[in-house]
Amino acid sequence: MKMTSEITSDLQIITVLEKRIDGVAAIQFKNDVRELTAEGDTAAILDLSNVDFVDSSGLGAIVAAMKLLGTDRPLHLAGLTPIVSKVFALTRMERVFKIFKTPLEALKTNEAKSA
Amino acid sequence: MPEGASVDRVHSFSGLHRTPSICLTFPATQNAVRSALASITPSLRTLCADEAMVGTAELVLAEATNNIVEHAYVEVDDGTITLSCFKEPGRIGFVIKDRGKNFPNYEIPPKKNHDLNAEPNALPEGGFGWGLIRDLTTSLEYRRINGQSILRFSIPSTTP
Repeated sequence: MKMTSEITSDLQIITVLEKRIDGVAAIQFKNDVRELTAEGDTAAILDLSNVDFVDSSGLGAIVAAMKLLGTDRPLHLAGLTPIVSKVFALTRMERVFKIFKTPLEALKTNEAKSA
Repeated sequence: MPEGASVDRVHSFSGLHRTPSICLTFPATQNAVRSALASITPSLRTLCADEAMVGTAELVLAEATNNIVEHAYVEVDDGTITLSCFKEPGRIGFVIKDRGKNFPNYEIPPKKNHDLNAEPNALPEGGFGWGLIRDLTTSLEYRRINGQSILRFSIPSTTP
């Protein structure tokens, strides 16, 4: 799965470059997040601004990714597009994550950097 | 409706008396579901210039058809899914058919009420599908007719 990772001193930004996180992509997504976050020890922001479709399998994979990082390293979200936002709202999972408009907004606040 | 119900009622429920705007049969695999959705969403956009509604339809169709792949055909590797769409005033009607296992008790599964205050490691990674389908559709109905599962629902337009 196409993703990029940028590591700053106190935050890692993971940008998903695919349009879909669905049943086909879910396992690959989890494996790639595991690989990209293996080295760091900071909180992470998952930038979903290029993703226009997440279904329940994709949502499950994002929750799994959050668990992979462990309780000391929160996973936040940024850039939710309309359908993705709807999935998080209807399943109430929007309460489980901190959600920022953009990764830049997350970088500007200290809120993202601590658990 | 019990198995072997009258032909007229069967045809009425499964939409056979109407000509669908779109009808597609595809293999019951996750990759085929993805391809089917990719081919159907542009057609939905042509039927109804309502981007929010098309997005909702894509999500509901993904949930309903992936459920068939993962549950109805769990023991079958050559199953097929047939999807029909009907343009109706203010909404699009959908009929999805498969020949896999029926729902337990012939009932559409309920919306699961997950405990989201649970500690992070206990948070759910699945079981969201039927809640999404129930939240986003109207006239959701299920029938098992002559060994075929028929799921029917409508998605309303978001614009008047």
